[in-house]
Formats: sequence, C-alpha cells, structure tokens
Amino acid sequence: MDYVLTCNDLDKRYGNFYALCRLSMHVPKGAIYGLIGKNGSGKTTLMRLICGLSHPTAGSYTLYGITSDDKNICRSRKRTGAIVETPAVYLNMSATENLEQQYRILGLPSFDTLEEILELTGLSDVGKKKVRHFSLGMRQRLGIAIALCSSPDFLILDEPINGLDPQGIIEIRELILKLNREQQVTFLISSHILDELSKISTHYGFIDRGHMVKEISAKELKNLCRKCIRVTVADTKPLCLLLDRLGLDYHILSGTEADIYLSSPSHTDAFPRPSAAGISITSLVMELSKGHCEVLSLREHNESLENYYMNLIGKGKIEN
Amino acid sequence: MYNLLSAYFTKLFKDKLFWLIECVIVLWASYVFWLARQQFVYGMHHVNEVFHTNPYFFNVSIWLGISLALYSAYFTGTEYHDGVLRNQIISGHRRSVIYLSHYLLILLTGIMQAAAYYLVFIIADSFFLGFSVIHMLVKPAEYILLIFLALLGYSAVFSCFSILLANKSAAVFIQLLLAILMLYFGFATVTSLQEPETVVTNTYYGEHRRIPNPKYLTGTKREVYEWADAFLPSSLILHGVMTDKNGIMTDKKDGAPFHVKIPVGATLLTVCFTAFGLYGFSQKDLK
Repeated sequence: MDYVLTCNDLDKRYGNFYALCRLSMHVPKGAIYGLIGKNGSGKTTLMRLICGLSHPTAGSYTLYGITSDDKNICRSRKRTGAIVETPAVYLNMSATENLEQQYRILGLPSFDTLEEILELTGLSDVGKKKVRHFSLGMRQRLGIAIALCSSPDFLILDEPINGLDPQGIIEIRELILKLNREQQVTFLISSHILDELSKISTHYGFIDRGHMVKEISAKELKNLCRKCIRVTVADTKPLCLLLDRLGLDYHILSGTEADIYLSSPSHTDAFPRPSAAGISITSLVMELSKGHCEVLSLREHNESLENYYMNLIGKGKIEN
Repeated sequence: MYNLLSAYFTKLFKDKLFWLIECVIVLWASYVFWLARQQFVYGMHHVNEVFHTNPYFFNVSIWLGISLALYSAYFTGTEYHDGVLRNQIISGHRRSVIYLSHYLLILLTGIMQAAAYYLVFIIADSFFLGFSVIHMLVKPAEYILLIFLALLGYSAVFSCFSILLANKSAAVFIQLLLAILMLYFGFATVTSLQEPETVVTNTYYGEHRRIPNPKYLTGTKREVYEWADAFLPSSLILHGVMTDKNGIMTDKKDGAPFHVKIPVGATLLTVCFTAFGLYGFSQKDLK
C-alpha cells in the first residue's frame, strides 16, 4: 500500500514530559485519516511535527517518501496544506488580500483560482471586511481556503469544524469528500466530534498520552463495532448475576436497562451461539427466565465510534 | 526567497506604520533643512560663504537604529502574532530562507528610511547649489558607506532578536532598549576616541602650555575602545554625524578617527548575529 505519511517511533519531549512517545502511524494515499484522542493526547503536537513547526526529539517521519532528516523535506511540504491550532491569517487584511499574500508566498503566477477558493469555502461575499472583524467560523473557513491555495495533495486539518455553524460543518464535510473523491486529496483530520469523523473517515488512528493506541480502517472498525442487545428488565440485579455466570459482556444503563454485547473488541465470546451471525435470543431469554429475570423489552443496538473509542482508550491498550 | 520578499514588500508598502515613519522622516528632514537655512541667513557667516547643509546631512542616522528596532519588532511580531510565519514553513520554505528574507526586508527598510531623509536634503540643496550639490556630496559619500555598514549591523542584530522573540511586546521593549544603549555607548566610545592627545592649558603666569590630555586613551584601552567603535553600529553612524567646532564636515585626519577595524568589526558583527539568528531560528519550536 502506498503511504503519504509514515511516522516511525516519533518522540517529542518537553523537559521530562513526553508529548509523543514512540508513536508510529501510517496514512495511506487517498485516505481520510481521522486522528482521535482526548485533550492533551498529542494530536496537535504530531501535526506540528509533520508540518515542520517543531522538531522530533527522536524518531522520524516520511512524507511522500522523503524522511524528515533529509534537507529536501521542504519539497514534500510544497505538496501539503495545513491548519494547525488556530488559522494563520493576517488580521489587518481582508480575505482576498490574505489569499493574495499566500499566493505570493507560494510563488503562484496569477490569482485566477482565488475567487473559486473563496466560493468553495463560503467566503465569496465578505467583501473588504478585515479579518479582525470575522467570527471564529469565518476565520476557520479562511484558514481552510489558505490551505487550499497550493492545490495540495495532502491536507492536515487540526479540528477544521471548530467554531463552525451546522451549515458550515455540512459544507466543510462535503468539501472534504469532494476533494477526496475528485482530486484524490489525502486528509489527516483531528477532531473531537466523533460523529462527524465517522461520516467521512476511511481510516482512524486512536492516540492517547502520546502513544498510538490503534490504527484501523473504517471497514475493519465497522466489523469490530460490537452489536448488542438492549434489554429492559424488571430489575438489573439478577440480570447482572446471571450474565456474570454466563460469561457475557454487558453494560448497565439504568436500574432496568442494560446492553448485552454480542462480541468484545478482543473477540471473546463465552456464550454459545448457534452461528457466527449473532447471539441466540431465544437461549438468552430462556436463561433469563430460568434466572427469574423478567424481560420487558428487547432490541438490537449497534456500538458507535464513540463507544468503541471509550472502550479502547479506557483500557489504555498500546499497540506498538 | 524571491517569493517571500515579494510577499513581504507587498505587505510593507501597504503598512500604515511604515508610511507614517517615512512621513515623519520627511517632515523632520524638512524642519532640519529650514533650521539650517534660518541659521545661515540670520547667523554669522562670511560674505562669500555658500549655504550648504553638510553638517546636518546625517542627523537622521542617529535615529535609524531606533526606528529599525521598532519596525523590525513590529513586523516580525505581527508575523508571529497572526501565525503567518507558520504558513511560510508549512508552504515549504526553509527556515534559513525565511530568516534571510526578514533580514533583507529590515535592511532595505532602513535604507528606504535613510533615503527619504537624504532625498529631501538633495532636492532642497540643489535649489541653492544647483549642480554643485554633487560636488558637496562627494565627501558625504564616504560616510554613506559607514552608514550602510551600520545598517547591515543594525539589521543583523534586530533581525536576530525579533525572530527569536516570539512575543511582539517583549521584542519591541528589548530592541528599543538595545538601540538606546547602543546609541549611548556609541557616543561614549566616539567621544572618548576623539579626545586630542594634548590640550592647551593656562599657567599661573598667563602663559599657554600644551600638556598631555589625561582623557586621551592609550595602549590596550584604546585598542578595546577602537574595537567597540568598530562593532557598534551606532558608532559607525556617529562617525558620519560628528563635525568640528565650525560645523564643517570633518576630514578623516581632523575629525572622529577612522580606522581599518571599522569594516572588519561591522562585518564580524553582521556575520555573527546572522549566524546565531539562523541557528536559533532553525531549532525553535513555533507555537
């Protein structure tokens, strides 16, 4: 598989604190890679390293086949665009002037595509308004517009929908999908809004305390996300005793409701089932009945990316 | 580097502070010229004496250091504050190229500020001297070289500080303080070196005798002062500004001493600060 970016045992240390610790990552070409982690997990630090804003303490990364130690790494960066932390824009200039300035920095011969980029990011009607009077969402859009100036093959977006209204979120999502589909632009996106990431990402990287906990494709994640049965019972106490005896994984939601998992992330499943397709509901209800646990209702429920993330990070398992 | 310089100069020419400084310099030059003219007309001078402004020609140079300190801190501080310095690195420009572009911008800004002042004088002088103004400018041409060396040094020092100090306010304060300190030590150095070897003193009997000047520097002390004079950009500028008691631009032999160490020191200062700044910036984490 062709990788745009690979990280090999990256370390970033500030004094005695390790912001990144032996982190390895692989971003396939043409992917929309969602980087997921809690605050302070190292997402922004990683992006800053890749963009050249910081230097790794140890380890290296490869961008388009060129390692970070190579002096030609700058050439690879010409093919990338990024927003890291806050959008980098001149506050005393208008949106058009900011883009013109970026065009000059890039050495682009004309401003022909400028209007198109403004329209693409929803900034075509801001006129000569100075950026200092922009809202956070508008500045974020301008940051994305600046990142698009060089028609990059690889875009690094650190929380791109931060501060955007619902309309803006949809527009940016569609823009990302359009660029990925039509121009095969590879994306590395970090976000806290897992629901949004789950709609666009083709690959995920879960990062915690500077470590890459797991890398997985969307397809594999979908297969792994556990199906469960959500049961409503008269009392969950006898239910718990019974499920423990049966060796089934479960999660109590309230005094009368619980999720019973069909499989766990480690693929253990102690309850005998008739086929690999699913749990035998008949057997389950019969066992519950034998255990004097009255079942009031029962329905199928799928685990979301959020649940998967909470289960994964909660266990703190480090893959590398 | 061309792309970066193109972007920087476009921004510079749109910047209100730059034009404000240029206007202040032009107004200052006009005022100084008017004062010089008033002094000539209403003061004492020989009948055949021609009005010229050589003694005032380099007055602006004293303030060049301060205006450069302020402007370099402001310009680079804005790049840091708005985060656009990050864009330049993300876009694939090397840090060394970014640093040298900043240096060139500051240097050329200093040259433009000096040129604004000199242009007023050249234009105004030509009304009184006609083409003779060229003849009058020959002597100052030697000192323009000194001022250029000083600008190279100032630009190196202020580029280094402004790009290593990410905080705009801290950079403005530190660089302003540095410019004032350099000016002070420059004055102290040049005036100390200007002290004559002997001075005339009156005896009890009304005779005039020449005695050795106790303030005259000799030996290692003079060597140290000469090297300080060579390194300090403000000293180089003051060599161009200092005149004798008649207000005439001093000759090399009579006026502030000019020595070979000056171009060596100025070059060393420029090279050392540029090298230090390049290394520091290459290692810096940009936040």
